[in-house]
Amino acid sequence: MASVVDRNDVRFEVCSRGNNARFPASDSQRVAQVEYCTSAEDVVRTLQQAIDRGQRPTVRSSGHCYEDWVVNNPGGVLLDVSMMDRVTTGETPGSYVIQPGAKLGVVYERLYKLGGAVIPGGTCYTVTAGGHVSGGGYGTLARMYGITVDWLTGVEIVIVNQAGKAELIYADAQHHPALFRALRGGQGSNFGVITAFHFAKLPPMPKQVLTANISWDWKEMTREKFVRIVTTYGDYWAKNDKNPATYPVFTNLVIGNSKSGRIGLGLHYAQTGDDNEGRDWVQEYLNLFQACRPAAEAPPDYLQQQQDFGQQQRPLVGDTVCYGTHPVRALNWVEATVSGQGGSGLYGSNRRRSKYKSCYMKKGFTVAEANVLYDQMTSDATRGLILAIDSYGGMVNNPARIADTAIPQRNSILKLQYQSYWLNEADDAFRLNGIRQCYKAMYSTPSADPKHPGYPYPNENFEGCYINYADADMLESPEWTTLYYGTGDLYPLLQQVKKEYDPHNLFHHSMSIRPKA
Amino acid sequence: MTMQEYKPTRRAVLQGIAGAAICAAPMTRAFAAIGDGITFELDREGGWIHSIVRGERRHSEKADLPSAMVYSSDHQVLHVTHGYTTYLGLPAGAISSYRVEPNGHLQRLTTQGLSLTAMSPHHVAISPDGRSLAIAAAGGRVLNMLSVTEENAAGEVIAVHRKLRGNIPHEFFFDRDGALCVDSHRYAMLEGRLARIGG
Repeated sequence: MASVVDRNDVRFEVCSRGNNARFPASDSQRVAQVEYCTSAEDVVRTLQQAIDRGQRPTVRSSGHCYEDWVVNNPGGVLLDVSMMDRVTTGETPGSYVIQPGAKLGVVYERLYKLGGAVIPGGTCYTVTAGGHVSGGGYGTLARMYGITVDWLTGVEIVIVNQAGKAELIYADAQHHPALFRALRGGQGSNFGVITAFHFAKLPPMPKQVLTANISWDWKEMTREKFVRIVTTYGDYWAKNDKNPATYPVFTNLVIGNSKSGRIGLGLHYAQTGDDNEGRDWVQEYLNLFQACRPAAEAPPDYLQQQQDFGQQQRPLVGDTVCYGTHPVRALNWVEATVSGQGGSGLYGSNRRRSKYKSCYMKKGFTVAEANVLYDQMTSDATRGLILAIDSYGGMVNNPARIADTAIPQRNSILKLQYQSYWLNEADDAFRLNGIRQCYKAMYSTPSADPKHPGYPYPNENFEGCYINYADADMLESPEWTTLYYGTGDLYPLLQQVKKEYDPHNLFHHSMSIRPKA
Repeated sequence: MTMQEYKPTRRAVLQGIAGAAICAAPMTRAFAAIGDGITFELDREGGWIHSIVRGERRHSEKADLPSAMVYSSDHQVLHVTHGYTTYLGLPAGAISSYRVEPNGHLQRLTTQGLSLTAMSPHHVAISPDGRSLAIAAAGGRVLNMLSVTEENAAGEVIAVHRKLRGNIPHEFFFDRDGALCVDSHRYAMLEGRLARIGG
């Protein structure tokens, strides 16, 4: 039986909120009760009771939703599936079953123990499979293995049928194929409550990961240098997206506002072969951004600093300087992925308020875009803003996956995530204005579709946004669904699936699939 | 509240209607009257709220898709629902609150979105204590309960009740006890939700 936490319960304050401290937006927006489910049968029963009481159900696996989709549900029921967290082998050799409440850190650890397998998912330990996988499941192994839904072969989901009855069904390529496609990136929260993900096979876990980085201090940054770094970063992936030698690579260029952050370039090279694999590539890549000085010039303590701190000098007082070769760390892959992380899955008093935006880029940055980014990131108005520019593409860009998943972005080389974090509600307006201002400026250059200024509307340069980096500001665009689901047949299909499998539109939120009129 | 099936009496219905000044029949025009001879007329098709003072139309306020209205308990504020299917990009209707000037003019105080799926609201009632508004939205088969602010304007949605089957009621009212009477059932806010009471 589900454990029920109502408003009179001492647990209610903590368990009725999400990871983003902006939500619930007020006490009035809180649910009436949280129900912790421990099995699919629990989900069916709890969901049916909610329907019969006339309550709106929302679903939470870890509570990392960026927007107000889950905990803003006045008088409703929050079905929490975080305790449905098993990771097991499946019925056939090499297959696995992952429940929605499994934290990604636990998923990696269990898959390692069960068979040395891996999902190409994210790196945040406490994010759970439910939202992460059903929304796509992107991570550092994406260029090598694609995204997680590319490996998904079946989903157990509780839906509510036309008669208003909750029922558990199994969707795969043969059973409920349209629903299955929708659940491969179109998010479970649109259609029902996912109770298990099935994978007929998964790729092998890399043996080791090489990590290296460069960090730049804004005090030593000029506009010209900034433009060169940003355009070099994008141009590399524009030229090398199809180069298999770069498939094991994940890079991210992280740019913090000049008043509050630094600029950092990080890379991961996932080794599946010997210890030398990729080391030359790492040096060549980093040299594109900052060549090393001769080793003979190194200060006496330079090598000791490398040993002590691995990659960079500490404290970070200026641009990273290297002598001879760029420092590279080699770490066991699973250890590097799960060590030093953790978290309870509950949300304490140190929660932060946050806002995110996203963009897929099909080409590198133009000089005009890089200049706009420089202007924005040196502006007082965007203090606290961070832009993470991740590598994308490689095996993700398999055109066959456009037709059988709900992730249409298969031509991009970069995935951008704009982020802002703050503590006090009083700063909401400033922080939200900052991130919005930057985003609007970035997609108002000649690269953007002139009919959709301010948005990375799909064209020859952009491929829209990532639904797992949800951004309700996009609702201001009448064509916001195109930003997430593309210009092809996907959104009409999602609407049809919605009509068929959630005929009462019971599973809805601010950015859910709109039923066909 | 007793836990027995509720059968509203004619008297209870009249008391409820008197308290709520409901005017939401599904017709092109609707009327609401308060003391001092001021009557308000909704022109649903044209999108107007007309003030009629002692028999003369004195003021007309443009309003998008006005669909139903109700007075605040002190007769100082008029709440008017908008029959939107989309409000600020969301699938929801909305409600505006207007201060009623002595000469019948309306001054808009706020416009508040309804819950998701509460599209095309068609009926509104106010509780006897003036602290709650109930709104029915046929578009999503949804009842919304809203708080009322200190300024007597419509506040946040505090509860949502959804019917998957059956008809969404065209009329309902609050009884003297503050229970929302819908068809033959009574509802009240219990533990944070709009719950059916009395069987």
